[in-house]
Amino acid sequence: MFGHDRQSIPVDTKAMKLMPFGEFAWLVDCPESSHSTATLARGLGAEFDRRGLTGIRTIVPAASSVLVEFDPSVDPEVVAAAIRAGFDRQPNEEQLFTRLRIIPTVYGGEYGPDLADVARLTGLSTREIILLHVSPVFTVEFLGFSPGFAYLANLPPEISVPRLTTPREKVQAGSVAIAEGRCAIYPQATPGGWRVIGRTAMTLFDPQRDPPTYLSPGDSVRFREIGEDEWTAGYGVATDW
Amino acid sequence: MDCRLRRCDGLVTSAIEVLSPGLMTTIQSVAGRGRFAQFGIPVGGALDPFAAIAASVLVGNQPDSPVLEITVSGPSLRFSRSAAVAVTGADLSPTIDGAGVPTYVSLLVRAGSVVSFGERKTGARAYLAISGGFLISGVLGSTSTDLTSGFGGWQGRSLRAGDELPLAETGDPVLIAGRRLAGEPDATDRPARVIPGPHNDRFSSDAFAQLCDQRWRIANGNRMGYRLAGSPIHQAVADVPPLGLPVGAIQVPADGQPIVLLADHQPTGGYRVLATVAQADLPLIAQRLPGDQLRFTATSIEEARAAFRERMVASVRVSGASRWQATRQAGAHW
Repeated sequence: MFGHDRQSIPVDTKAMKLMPFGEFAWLVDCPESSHSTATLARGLGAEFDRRGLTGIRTIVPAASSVLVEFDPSVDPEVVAAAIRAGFDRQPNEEQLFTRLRIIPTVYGGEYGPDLADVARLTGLSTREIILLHVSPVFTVEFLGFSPGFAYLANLPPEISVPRLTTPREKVQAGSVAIAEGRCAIYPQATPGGWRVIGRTAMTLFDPQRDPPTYLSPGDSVRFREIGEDEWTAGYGVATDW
Repeated sequence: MDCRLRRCDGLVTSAIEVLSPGLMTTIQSVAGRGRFAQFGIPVGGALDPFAAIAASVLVGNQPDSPVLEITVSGPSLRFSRSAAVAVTGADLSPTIDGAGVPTYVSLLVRAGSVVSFGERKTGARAYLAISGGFLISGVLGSTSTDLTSGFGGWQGRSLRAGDELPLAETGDPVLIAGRRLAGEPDATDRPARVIPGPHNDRFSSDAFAQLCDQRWRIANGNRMGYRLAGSPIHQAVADVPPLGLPVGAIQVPADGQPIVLLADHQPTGGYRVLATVAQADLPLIAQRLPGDQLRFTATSIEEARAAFRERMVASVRVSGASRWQATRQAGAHW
């Protein structure tokens, strides 16, 4: 089912630059890497475990880098050596494996207040936009901005629209939004500048669970259109959390 | 969610009653949520971690115990049992039953007494630790309060009048009273040390000098970070692909006005980072408020690491406690 990253391509350490970020962190800059930062982050975690390196505080994959923060008592050079070795290793099955998440979504109307604008900007009908949105398999590149807010890659270029010129002060929780080549879902009501085309009733963030978010870096995501009358069908915590 | 805990026989454990909450008082710890930053969760924690640790160690608690972080104007708290308390960080004129008491010393509070605060004399954030600590569960690995998302600490929010915060039982507080911090708290009227980078190559060559040459004014901000105002640091390209960010990172958006990230900052962001504040100097920022001035000066990674070690040792060196006890507490966490 889903979905293996291009597994037979070895990681090229020449494509990786290690930079200090403050006195207790390394920024692993890897824009040229053939593997996702999610896969690389998992590989680094595995390498730290393999070397018995405790004292790693944080590993944050992002758009084209991975941040590694460590305890003050840890030698930065020991961490750097582990990072280089982790990069040299071929990712294994576990690190490449992605889960598939299906997000039931109601499109348009009060649930997707920007859908009409997206139609106007792209020259497509709302039906065509919805079809373009439910067809692809998105990948969770990374999370940030707010708990559980996942940046999804693989938005079809036909519906890659600019952000709102003025962000909304409050985007409804569960809003599914698109902008500049990416899709995202707002787990909580927050300010937001992306264009909202639909909404899901699914719980995406729960601090009482581990992991606390439904989506993790590296997951595959597809959207499934549901009608307004089916809204409660997609409500609450997914059974495969 | 009712976070009050009760013994099996149904009686409420010891508690402190919040008579008035102060401007913004939250439960914080120095243990952060680093393991969950990859899920978009702020690491969080005490804005002035050294003051928080000093308060905990002074009352005989683990260095990463939950403490009250008190902002600008303090709460009024009635104690249902006796306890040793310590107030560190800002001097907000703490009192016990109306009588002024010193900071950076462990003090005996008797059952029924009221701890309160008055005029702000120095600093912005004071820390109050109570012997035995608060009886609250951690969420996502920490007892710190995440105000933005509303979880952790005390019901995910700042204190309100009428709250009753449960306390763990403790040994005889008389034995803990009278401890002092062996060293002096750090001087706060000096530039904050910063390490250049990581986006040096995306700024003009004099950008770092511009950062360190100015007296910046703190324009506004909160626990997520402070926005500074001054002569803008201009550069050609505004944004970078979003990256993970440590606390203390100094971002520069398109308007050229720097943002210094504090404990509750979002874990990723797409503004370029010109420099990072040495963690030993985070208190210099945490103890200032909008309207205050702030300067920066360059330092190296080695100096920053040494300064951190120094500050940590100073925060746990308590006289009046056995040296073994203080060292054991320090070693357990750091």
